[in-house]
Amino acid sequence: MSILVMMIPITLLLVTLFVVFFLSAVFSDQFEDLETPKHQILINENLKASNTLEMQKGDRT
Amino acid sequence: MNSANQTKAKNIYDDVVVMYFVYATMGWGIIAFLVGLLAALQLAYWPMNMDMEWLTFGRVRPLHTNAAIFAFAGNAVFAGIYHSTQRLCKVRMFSDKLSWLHFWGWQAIILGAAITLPLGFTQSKEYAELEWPLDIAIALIWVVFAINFFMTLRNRKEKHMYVAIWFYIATVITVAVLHIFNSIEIPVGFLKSYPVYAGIQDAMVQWWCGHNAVAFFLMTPFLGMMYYYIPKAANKPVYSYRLSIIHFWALIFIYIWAGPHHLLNTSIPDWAQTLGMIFSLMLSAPSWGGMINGLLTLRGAWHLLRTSPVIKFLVTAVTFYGMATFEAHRFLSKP
Repeated sequence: MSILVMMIPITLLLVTLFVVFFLSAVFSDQFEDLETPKHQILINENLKASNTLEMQKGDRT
Repeated sequence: MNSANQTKAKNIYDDVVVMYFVYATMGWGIIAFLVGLLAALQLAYWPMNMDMEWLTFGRVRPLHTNAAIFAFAGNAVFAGIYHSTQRLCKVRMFSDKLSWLHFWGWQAIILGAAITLPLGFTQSKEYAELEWPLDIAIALIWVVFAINFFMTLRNRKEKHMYVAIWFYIATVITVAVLHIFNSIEIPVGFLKSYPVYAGIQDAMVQWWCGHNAVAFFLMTPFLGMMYYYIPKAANKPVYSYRLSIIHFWALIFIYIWAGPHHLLNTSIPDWAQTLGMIFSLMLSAPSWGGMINGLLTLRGAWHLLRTSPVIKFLVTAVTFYGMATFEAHRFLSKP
């Protein structure tokens, strides 16, 4: 089972990478507010729709 | 066009490439299902191979699985990621050139698979049958996708990364690592190669990859899409955003250890089999937590199930995902 000598380090490397991602996300306050973001994606769509219209108008001129 | 309009125009999302990925999904989907039908008919009635070597079951079956996973689901994943990432980041994809290189490159690889598999060129590794030139092409195109995706995240105008983006990040990174390590092989001809691993070692790598390919090619991107498209379709925020974050991190840290459950009662060490089983059992929690989070998002909006075809499909998908997780418990059957 010598393959485990390669596989466990690779998997650990992957896990370490995700731990780094997780900690950097926590310390850059990504998970401070767990309420607003879920509403944000619904609100912003409407903003986007009006923006797109505006942009299309701009394109024609 | 004056400069103000130009800067505005740059902000318009690139939906053309998304449309192309959607068309590709539909086209390859039909082909994948037809090939699957042919394979199924052969199981019941072998003369359905029409006495042609290119249509024998051993060649048709990998063609079907590759088409269903990498052509049908793959293009759907790319369509979903390109569409929702631009909206979640409030920015256009980093480079149109890379987007199109990704699109056409991926279709060319599928075409290559559709030609080489029926001709009998295969590595005989399930879900990784393609020969070395196509393996290299997949790695290169995946890197193109990764650059395009991560540079888009870097350019994002929204500080918070919505949970769907995290699922996409896990997909892009992990699929690259899996594909590269599972495909280390020595070519001995234009379309012939041997893996550097032998016997049970090869089986171990193969199922570490096969297992995680299901996780990170077929599951995480679709869960990300679930967290974006179900709230969108129902016009309701996700039931618990906190749960979605926990769902993601729990899934990521547990899933990659469960590969050995595909090799129960084989010559891999007993402790490795037991470890794979325990992690499989632990996976029930995030899998079901995520599924329930998706379904509870529809609380107070269940009437949409009667009128909205999109909601019908989404609910069916999430429900079947929940049921499919039971299949993992089959892997707990080591005597």
